[in-house]
Amino acid sequence: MALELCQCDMESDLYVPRPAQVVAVEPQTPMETLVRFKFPDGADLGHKPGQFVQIFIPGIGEAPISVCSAPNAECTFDLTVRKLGDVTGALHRLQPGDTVGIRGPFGNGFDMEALQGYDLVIVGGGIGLVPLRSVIQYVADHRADYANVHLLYGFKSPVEQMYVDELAQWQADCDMDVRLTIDKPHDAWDGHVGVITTLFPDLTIVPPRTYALVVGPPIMYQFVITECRLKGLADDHIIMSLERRMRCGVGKCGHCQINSKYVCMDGPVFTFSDVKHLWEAI
Amino acid sequence: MKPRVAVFSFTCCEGCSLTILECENELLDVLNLVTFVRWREAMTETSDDIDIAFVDGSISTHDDVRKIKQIREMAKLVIPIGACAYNAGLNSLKNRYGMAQVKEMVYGEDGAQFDTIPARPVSAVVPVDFALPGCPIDKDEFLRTVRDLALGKTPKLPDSPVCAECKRQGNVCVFTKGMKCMGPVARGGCGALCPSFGDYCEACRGFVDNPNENSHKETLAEYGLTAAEVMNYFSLFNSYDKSQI
Amino acid sequence: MTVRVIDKHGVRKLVEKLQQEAKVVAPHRREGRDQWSFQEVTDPDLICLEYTTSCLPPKEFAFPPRETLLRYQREPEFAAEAVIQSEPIILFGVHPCDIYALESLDIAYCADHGDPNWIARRQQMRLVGVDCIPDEWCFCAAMGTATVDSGYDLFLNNLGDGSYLVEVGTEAGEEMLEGIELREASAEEIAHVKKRLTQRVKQERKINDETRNLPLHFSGKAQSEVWEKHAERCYSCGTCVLVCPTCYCFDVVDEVALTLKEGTRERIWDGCMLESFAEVASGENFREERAQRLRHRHFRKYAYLFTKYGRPFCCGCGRCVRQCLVHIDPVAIINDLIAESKGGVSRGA
Repeated sequence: MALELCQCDMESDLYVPRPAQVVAVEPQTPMETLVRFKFPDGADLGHKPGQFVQIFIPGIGEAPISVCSAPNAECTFDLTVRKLGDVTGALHRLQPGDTVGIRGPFGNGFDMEALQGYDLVIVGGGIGLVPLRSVIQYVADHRADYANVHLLYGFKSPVEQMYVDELAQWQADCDMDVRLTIDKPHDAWDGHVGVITTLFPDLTIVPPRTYALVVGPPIMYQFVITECRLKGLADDHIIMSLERRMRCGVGKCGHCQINSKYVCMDGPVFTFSDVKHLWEAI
Repeated sequence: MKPRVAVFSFTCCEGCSLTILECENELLDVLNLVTFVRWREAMTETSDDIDIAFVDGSISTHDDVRKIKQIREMAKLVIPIGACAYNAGLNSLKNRYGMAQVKEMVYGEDGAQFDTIPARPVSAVVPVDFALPGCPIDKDEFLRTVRDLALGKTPKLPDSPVCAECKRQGNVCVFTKGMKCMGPVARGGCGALCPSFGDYCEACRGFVDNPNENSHKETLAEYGLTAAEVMNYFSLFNSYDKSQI
Repeated sequence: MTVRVIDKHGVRKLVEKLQQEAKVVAPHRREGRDQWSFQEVTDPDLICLEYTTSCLPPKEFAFPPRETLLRYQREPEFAAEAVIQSEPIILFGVHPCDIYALESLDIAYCADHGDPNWIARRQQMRLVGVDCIPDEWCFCAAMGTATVDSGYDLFLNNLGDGSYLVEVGTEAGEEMLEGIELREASAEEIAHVKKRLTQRVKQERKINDETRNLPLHFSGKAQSEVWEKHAERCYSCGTCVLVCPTCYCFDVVDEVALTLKEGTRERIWDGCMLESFAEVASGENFREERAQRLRHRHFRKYAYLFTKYGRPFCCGCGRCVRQCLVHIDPVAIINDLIAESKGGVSRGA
């Protein structure tokens, strides 16, 4: 028998979802809804900001979803999902008390300790804010560990704004500089208008002590990264989270591979210097 | 409330609706998921109150056109089943002739009195919600479709070619047995049924989303087929051409 | 230690003995020109130990084309359990390239998280290797897999008269031989096997540089014209990846009973050459073009996994090019890339 087979720990439960219960459902926009889960035995998910889980809706299927809450004392975790396919559609129909299956957490997540003491520029485009919410909550919980925090959040129209109350709270109570923008003028909006990069000129960034955390649709990355570099940020100070369709979550099935990287194992969080030479990344 | 299901047949052998009837071991479970309310081949009762209409056969008469439009108005979902309904299948072979010629070839001098138009798939006349290809349909695919609809899940057609399914079945490539096959460009989902039982694939489920047709025409020629024979392989189930109707 | 020989009668006895202990699968002839596959032995006389290559590699006995990973109930409440099936099995008559490939998949499936289904099956698997004479598509010598010195319990070297020179790889292999009549090999027989080994290593099909340099020749070749050139006839049918002994990608599908009360999750062989492989939830396909998929497949085999695990994830068996209807050839691709690195014109496959 090969050496590997003798020395390897077989993970019998690798593909087995743990039952988790819905404890709350909070619709965010017509397309996005937040669902809060808890394990019936009270166990903690044990995740880091930026990690993802595989959520299994019995009979429908499994999908990788970012955890959008920070670890908390109640041992709950939140997923915000856009209605796109069958699994996310079924997630929108969940009610408190319903049971789903959870595997994970998977992926590397953001290295929050390495970011301690730095200024953070958090840039979320559309549902890109979802994985970043876990970071923002974590920073709010450990506010003294981080220096200046800017949050730039762009969305198409007012109705698509998620986490409305929390955004206000982060601004008011957590000493964060929250800046919102919508793509096009709208009657119900008196704030900033323009794509997310139009928020950059007013921003004062001190490059060596700043990290940018960027999540958004593929098209957004190249523009935001350009802005970050213009502000003098080094490529390894630009951190992003990439989306792929992981099936297994554990580096086997091959679906999430970007060049040599497995998003489920090496990511989903990468620095721009990790991926800039990967032609399949963005 | 269980969805109310009807089965309608147009120009075809009705083998696809027969395939549903042949789900003998599963029919009781199917009846727990849906109620059949109209199905000429299987029941005498009839109804116009329909949620899902499964339709086999091509649209090939003026009367067919009128009826399928009626069905579209009655049913919430219209799902063509089988090659004839899916892409006009074999029926579309007649479209390369003039309709007068077709009538005479089939019925002789009396042909003129028959109503016939170039055969077309259901989707050429009314919008459809999903479709099951194949000649006939794959029984398991039909059952999965009913199940998915009952679960509120979007049914999906596999887009990998028959070649991939042959490999998963462990089949020997039929080209090594001297046959010619449409497997590399044909849409799978049948589990490579024909090659698994000693035959070759005729692409009765249509083509994959982006078939490399030119490459396969060259391959068939390299294996000794004449240009006309290559065309026959390509057109047997897949000759429907919008511009002909 | 003396070198021993098992004769034709002994091979038959050995198979019959092993059949008492486990399921034995071995190469059998199939209908079609030069076609073989591994099948369960019913009659030892039907085993065909002199064969070029089986259609599917023996990985199918540790990673079946379709296997259940999970069984669950939806009602009255959700509950799930792992399904990990395995049985004692003996693969009889496996070529060195395929032995190398199984070891490669051990590395990949044990890395980071140990895949329980693969490991459970491999732990109950014993292996009897057999040597071969390559056909016109093999390039094992180029990958350094024409011979292996591990990964088998027994290895049989053909002496040409139905008898085999036996190499023992493990204690389990020695146990297999208990009660089987063997005789000492003659000097001529040992020389004969050495000659065959030399033949195997001297193949026509070569790559024009050392194997260890492969990742270097892929470096900077993302935009090479090689990909478009070789993808022109590609069907993206997935044959090459599905018959590849070192490919291990899969998809996971849900099966729900018609009662809707219970279901299973199953993994099926998938591959990066199939069109929808890199599609994400929003519908975007990160490898939309055939050439991009062909490029990824080759980068994965000869650069990414090579660099990660220190060995090419290709065993040179040639199944991909042999079974490809248009014979897209990794050797030709690699030699084109090498020629590009050297700034010259390829000398061909």
